[in-house]
Amino acid sequence: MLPWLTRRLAQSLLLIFILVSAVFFVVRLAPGDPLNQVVEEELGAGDRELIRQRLGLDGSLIEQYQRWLGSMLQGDLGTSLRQQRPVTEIIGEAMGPTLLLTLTAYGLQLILVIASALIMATRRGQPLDHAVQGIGLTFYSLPFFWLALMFVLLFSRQLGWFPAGGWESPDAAFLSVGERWLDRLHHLVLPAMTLALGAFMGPARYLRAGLDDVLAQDYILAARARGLSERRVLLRHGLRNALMPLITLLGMWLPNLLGGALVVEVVFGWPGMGRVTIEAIWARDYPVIMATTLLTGVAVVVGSTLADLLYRWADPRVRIPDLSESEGGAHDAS
Amino acid sequence: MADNETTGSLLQVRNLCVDHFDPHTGARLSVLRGVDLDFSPGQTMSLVGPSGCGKSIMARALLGLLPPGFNWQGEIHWRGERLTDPDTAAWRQVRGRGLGLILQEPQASLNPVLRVGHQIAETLRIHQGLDRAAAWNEAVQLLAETRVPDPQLSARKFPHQLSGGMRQRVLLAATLACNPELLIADEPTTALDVSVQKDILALIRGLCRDRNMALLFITHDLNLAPLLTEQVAFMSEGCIEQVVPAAELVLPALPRRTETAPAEAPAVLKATNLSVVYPGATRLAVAGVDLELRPGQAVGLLGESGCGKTSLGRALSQHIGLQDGSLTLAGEDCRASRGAQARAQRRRVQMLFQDPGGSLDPRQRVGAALREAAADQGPTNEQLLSEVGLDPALQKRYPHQLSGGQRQRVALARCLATSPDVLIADEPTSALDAEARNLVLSLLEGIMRQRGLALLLISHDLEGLQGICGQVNVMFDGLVVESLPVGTSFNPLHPYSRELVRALPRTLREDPALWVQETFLPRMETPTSGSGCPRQGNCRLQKPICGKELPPLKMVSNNHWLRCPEAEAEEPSHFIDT
Repeated sequence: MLPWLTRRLAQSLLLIFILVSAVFFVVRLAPGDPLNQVVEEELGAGDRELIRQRLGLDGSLIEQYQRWLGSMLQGDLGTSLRQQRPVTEIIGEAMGPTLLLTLTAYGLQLILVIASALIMATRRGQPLDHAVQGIGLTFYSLPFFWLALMFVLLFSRQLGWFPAGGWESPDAAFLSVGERWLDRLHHLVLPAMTLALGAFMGPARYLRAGLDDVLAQDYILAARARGLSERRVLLRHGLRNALMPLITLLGMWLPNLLGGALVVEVVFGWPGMGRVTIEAIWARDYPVIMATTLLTGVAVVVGSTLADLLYRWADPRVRIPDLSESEGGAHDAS
Repeated sequence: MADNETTGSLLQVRNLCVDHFDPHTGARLSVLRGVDLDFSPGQTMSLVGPSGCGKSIMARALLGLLPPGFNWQGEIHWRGERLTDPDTAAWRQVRGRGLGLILQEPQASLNPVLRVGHQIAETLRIHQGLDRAAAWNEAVQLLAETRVPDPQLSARKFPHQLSGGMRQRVLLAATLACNPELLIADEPTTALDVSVQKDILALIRGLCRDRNMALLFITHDLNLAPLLTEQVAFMSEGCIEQVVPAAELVLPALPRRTETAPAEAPAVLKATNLSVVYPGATRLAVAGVDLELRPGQAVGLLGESGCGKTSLGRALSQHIGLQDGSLTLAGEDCRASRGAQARAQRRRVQMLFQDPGGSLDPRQRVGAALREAAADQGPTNEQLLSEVGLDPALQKRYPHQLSGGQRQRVALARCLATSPDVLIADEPTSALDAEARNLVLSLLEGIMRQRGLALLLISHDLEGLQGICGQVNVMFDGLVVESLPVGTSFNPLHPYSRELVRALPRTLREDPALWVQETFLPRMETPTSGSGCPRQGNCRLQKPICGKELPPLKMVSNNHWLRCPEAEAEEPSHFIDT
């Protein structure tokens, strides 16, 4: 276990280093001088040089790269060209709302995935199966922005149940802590619902195929033959085995958790990572673009490492070496 | 009712019919056509029939666990009470406490992610209401009863950490946790080696006697039936045709070799000191084997799982690389050839695999599979299919539309499509029922003679080898431990070969004393030292010298080679006279 873990972590660190370098060179080698984004064209050459130095845009590409690596190691992601504030500060502010939104949405989505997969696998071909599939596929095939707009139209404009945008009311500063969180949850409902409903059918169909496979196995028949209840057979023997391939999928969710939901955050005016990214791209705010790209990349690496770890924990066949090979007993299946 | 409890009928089945809906044709197919069956406590009966005759479906119908799309009619009474709806608690109670089921594939019958002790304890907690600790202790007890070595430790293992035989014992223990009155064993040893099969059968027999448990033993191997049960029921196409007492059963005659081997021809495939090691493995999978295959002659390779016989077959057909040794095909050095020459050599050595379901592409029609393999000038699909005794019209079918025996014959036709010089058949019959097995074996023999093919028949089935092969090599732990001719009789000397013969159902029936003790120690207890005889620690002829050096393969009589100096002096035992 430990040698494996060391090797896996070393791989991840190497990947992150390659990623940091790639992000730097790809952005810097793109055409256009980022300086033009901050200063007027007609500024004198001396002043331009001064500002160039202050922004770390002077010297050769290799020197810039070394400085960028050095500041990265100190946790300094640079200064936003547009907002003239440290990038870490901007990301720090956006991370809270993003995590609130994405964790809620993905938690909700996971529940929907498991519930609908169980229904589809056990009620195969029955009306309930068709109903779940019909609803799920309808949501799945609608684009997020349209779904978001329809929810706003229905639940906000028509029914007036939930606010149409933002993550807190304008008067939030005057509320007590408890009331302030209630207010945020109220704002959270529509964006979280959009994200969860719009995407759950993909993984749900994946899980249903897994369940179909597992439920046809002999150990399910053997468990039923021992008189175990259908509920126990399904949840303990069926679902546990069928969920394992989903772990890899969960690892791929992490980048979305941190990177935020671009479209939904913009539509609902949610002050999260997605909106920060979009705004930085519009403004060619290179330090911010590099930081968010990096963050997503690191999340991919960390997510897949975590998924590997989780998989080893969940599947004893990976965790514990196979001894039966050398023992013999059953015929080699050739 | 009280009467039934003690003496009356346990299970009564009247006019059981099962049919299912075939999505391909849209028709209802009849699987069982009016089966009557009676079991009283302690009664034992075998159910024998070819695959597809409805044996397994009947077992599942009794348990109320028919696959989706299957319907049943008729009457099933358990202890006088009629069972109607499989989903009711009443039928689940019967599943839990009355009927137990063990299945063919021990690796597939246990949940791979739960410790085996938990899978047994789970049943105890539900049906006997024990708490966690008590259930665990009882699970360990049951593992001891099914004679799993070191039950405390084994209970904490996951299924993949146990051998096939051990997994079958665990499944048996989990089934006994329900304390069943009728055990249904559906081909429980088909996937196991003969020595393991013998131990499992002995265990089931002992448990039925000790617990006065009734037994329905489902098998396609008629040889096994009289070992376990008093009665034998024959099933065919969904009907039980007759029930006879096992004592009156006449077993089919052994296949006989019709002619003696032709005169010595030069070897077409010759291997010298062949060794194979897999990446990361410490032991050699094949540890220096010499073998010569001659045109028109069959050589047998007998051995149990993990002995390296499949690795040897794959090395001979150049599908895995050699660690050491030499391999020549008609005088050409195979190890030196690359690219087009190596591919041409591979076409001349074909492999027939154990599982035709896995070796045929499920999305490729039979005709396409044959055309793909055949050379431009090669035989036509019609010629190939009629050579293996199949209707040429089958080439429009997909593999899943064929029976197991038909699939294996298609796989054989595909081997022949390249007009090979050598055919390596790796357990070609072990996935087939008795009838299909005999058909494939006689087909192999006929084609071998007709085409002058050199045939290597790899099998754990000694009786199958005897019918075709002139010479049989016995393999253990990557080594050939004995190589002997099969003429009118088969008289092995090596203690391991003798144990294999002793575990054969036919031998067991002739000499019930052989049931008494388990001759094979579980292999996980076998001490493994780097040098010496691989059987040390597990051998009745053991001497101190056995641990020090590996004995050479020495000729003891004409064409009889033996790797055991202690056994040379032994009297031939005439175990099987053909």
